[in-house]
Amino acid sequence: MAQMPVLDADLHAYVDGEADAALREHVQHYLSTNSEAAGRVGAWSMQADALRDAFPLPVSVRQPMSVAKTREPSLRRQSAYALALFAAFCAGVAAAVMFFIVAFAKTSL
Amino acid sequence: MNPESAWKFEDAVPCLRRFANAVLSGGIDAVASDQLARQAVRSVLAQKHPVLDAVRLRVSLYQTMLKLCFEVESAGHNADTVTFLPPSAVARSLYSLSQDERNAIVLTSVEQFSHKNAAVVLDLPLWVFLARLTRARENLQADLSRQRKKQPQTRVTGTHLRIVK
Repeated sequence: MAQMPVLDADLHAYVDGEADAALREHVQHYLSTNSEAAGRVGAWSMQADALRDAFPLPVSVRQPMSVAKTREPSLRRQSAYALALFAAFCAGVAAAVMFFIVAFAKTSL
Repeated sequence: MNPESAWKFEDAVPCLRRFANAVLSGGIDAVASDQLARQAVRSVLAQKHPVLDAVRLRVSLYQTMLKLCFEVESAGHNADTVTFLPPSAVARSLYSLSQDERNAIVLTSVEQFSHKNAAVVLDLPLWVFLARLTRARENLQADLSRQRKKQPQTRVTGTHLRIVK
């Protein structure tokens, strides 16, 4: 049976890790008999490694973006409301206590 | 693990910044790339049609980022003023490629898209994308060889260093 020809698409799939086991074996056999193609594939692999090294992930200049981040302002506002309510409640309690102290002092005098 | 399935939304901004840095000739500065990346993310998240899975979300993000990069390039992106990028030989060779070739090789080799999804990002039939990738890899190799020939040969013999015991 005649061997299937190896196309450039197969070589790219081999270099980029997209070839399945059968294609990988087929390409490897082809490369072992064709030094010119083996040279091209080797060069492409080295290019890919060099490009990944030349362009690492950049360092963040701000906080990472996430879905939770968009909710942060409303959460902050909610806690501000809660704090204001608590402060108003404390002020009320303090006023009531002062009132009773003054009233108690007047009655005892 | 397949890099496409390992991708997380939290990586979107740094990955898109790296992409802009690689596809825009001469690179782009950190603040401008950050603004572009966040603009792309906001634009995709504001779309009315929901994106169902991470792979399609990633494709949409890169399609949007590519359009934004094209606008920056059209507005007169000046590669000569960008100096923050380390002047690696492969980066110089990458910037010598045509825009189409650069997009194809960056999506495949740097961003590690599958050929099928890279073709979707570039809105090309798969066979056209693969032809472009072949051209990009051959031209990149030719430019790297030219750069190597231009460099003066460094001698490894005749060193003045001695082994001291």
